[in-house]
Amino acid sequence: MDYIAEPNLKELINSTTHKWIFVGGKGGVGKTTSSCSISIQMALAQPTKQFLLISTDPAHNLSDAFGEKFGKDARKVTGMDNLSCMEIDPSAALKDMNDMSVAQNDKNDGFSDLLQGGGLAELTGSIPGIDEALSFMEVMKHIKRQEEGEGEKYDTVIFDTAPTGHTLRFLQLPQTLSQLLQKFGEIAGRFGPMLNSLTGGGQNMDIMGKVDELKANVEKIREQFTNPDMTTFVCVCISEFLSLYETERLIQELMSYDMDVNSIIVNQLLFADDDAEHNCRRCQSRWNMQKKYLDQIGELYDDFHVVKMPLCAGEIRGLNNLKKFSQFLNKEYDPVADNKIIYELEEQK
Amino acid sequence: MSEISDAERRRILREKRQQKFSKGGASTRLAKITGQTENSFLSTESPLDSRESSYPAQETKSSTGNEDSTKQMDELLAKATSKTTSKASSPPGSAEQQSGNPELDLFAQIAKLQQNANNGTDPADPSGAPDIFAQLMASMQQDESKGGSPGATAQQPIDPAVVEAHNIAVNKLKSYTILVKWLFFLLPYLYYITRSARDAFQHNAVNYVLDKSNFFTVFTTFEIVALSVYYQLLMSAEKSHNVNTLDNNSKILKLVSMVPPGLVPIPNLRGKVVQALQYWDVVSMYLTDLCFAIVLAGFFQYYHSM
Repeated sequence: MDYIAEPNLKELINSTTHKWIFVGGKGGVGKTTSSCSISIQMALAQPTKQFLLISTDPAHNLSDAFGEKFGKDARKVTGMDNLSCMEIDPSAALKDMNDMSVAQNDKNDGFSDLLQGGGLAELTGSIPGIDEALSFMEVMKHIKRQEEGEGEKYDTVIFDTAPTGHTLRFLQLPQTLSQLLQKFGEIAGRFGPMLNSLTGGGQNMDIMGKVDELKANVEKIREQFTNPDMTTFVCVCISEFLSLYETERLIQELMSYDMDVNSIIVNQLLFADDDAEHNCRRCQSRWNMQKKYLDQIGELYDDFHVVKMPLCAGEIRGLNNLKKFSQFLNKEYDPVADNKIIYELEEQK
Repeated sequence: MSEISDAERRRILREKRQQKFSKGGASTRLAKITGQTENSFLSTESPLDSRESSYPAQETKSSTGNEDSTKQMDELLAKATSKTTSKASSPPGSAEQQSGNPELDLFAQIAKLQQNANNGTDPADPSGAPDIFAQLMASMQQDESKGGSPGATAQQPIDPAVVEAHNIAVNKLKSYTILVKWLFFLLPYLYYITRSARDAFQHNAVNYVLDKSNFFTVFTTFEIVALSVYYQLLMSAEKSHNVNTLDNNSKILKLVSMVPPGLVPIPNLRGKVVQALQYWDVVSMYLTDLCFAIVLAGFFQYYHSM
């Protein structure tokens, strides 16, 4: 029997099993708008559940998308009781770590003097991949908090990811860490007692215990990330050659990590054929180009939920505009019936 | 017919998707996309296909131990080497040359630049200025044409199988030369001069050769003749195989070739090293034969005194 994937995200929006949803794609294709839209639709569809939207992109856009300031701690979106946002800020997180180290160390030793000036933050801030590592730490923190019943509990976490390369590194982290920790475990197993004595055996510091705990957490995340009922990736693209190519590569990379990916949002479509009022030569030729790649998308991704989203007349910023736009994720955009909505977006001051 | 659950439907769709991407399907999909546009330089090599070939079974990933790690590393290295070779040999700009791996891309870039260096300029450079690799190659060629050995000029890549066959032939030639020298000249010669067999021969020339005081003259003359014959045969072997023995076997020469011109204040360093190595080859063969002659002389002295 041939099953067809619907051209909308209704299934995901109403999903009660998904815990982690990643939204990613090439730069400038509308990842933030799409992740905000998915979060809003999920929050509206499941009012009893709590949702958290995290931006892991070092160049954060969430605050601008919603028109209100979010920081490193989760904060509720004004006007929505069950949707919170946070922007992971590597420099702030590193500064916290720095301050913690200063507090733990003896104030008179040389190392503390170095840390006083934010030395740790400066040193580690320039390490490649630190954003991804911090995002991953955030995920681990979140899981721990959930288990211990501390703070706000979130049923689903949506990630507004950085452009493809960053995201792939982030998603690779559990696997890499898992392998690294396994190797470390083997080595530490042999030299464990010696390591303990070297690092102050008097304080009974159990290195092996810490490593095992970390390994268990990483393994848990890896299991969750590769469980299609718990984690999915939504690809965002525009109907152009390079974007389509990068989307295909992203999907293949994700599949190589055993991650589920079944939805593609195609943004910025002109639908010029059905827009008699605004149908200039440029729009027509661009729409013809978009149609060419849409045909290929249809051919390549017939088993995916391919959602075609319109290019709006104004910027999609602010909760109201996002709500208007995001409805097309739940019920596919009809170029004739819904045409007027794309001209109705409020201008943000 | 009963309705299937949403979870079951999702699973069926997921399996259908995975099926489409498996067994080379992933690369075909990428080729389909890049085929849409003319002159696309994007890679059609899929991460899924490379994973399938690197890790044929899922168990490989979960297995532990040094042997498995070494095996995986060997596989990766072999793959990287084969990729580099194929990239270097394929024409520049071909789709296979593009890869996500920056190290491999670097090799491809160098190969491309070296090919461009033969034309003197980099076609990608609109200014027409020769690139750094082209300049390096040109300066090396100039340097060598001024006084370097003929074999030291810019090398064409030689098939390793040909080099191996040549090496076998050279080793055989060397062994036969030593065998002939030792068995058919040094052994009887040393036997006779240690036996004081001068009076046994009436001919003056033979007596001169068998005179102990003429040993070094006779020995050196013989060595010059034998080495000349050997080098003639070696050169004809090099000519027929089109392989330079020193260039392909000497580690010292390979190291010297890596030194950029101008770094060491010796003009035509490579040519000088080639010459020094050739002299060393001659001297070492002479010394080996001399050592053998001394050992034999000692042995025969003992034998005759018995």
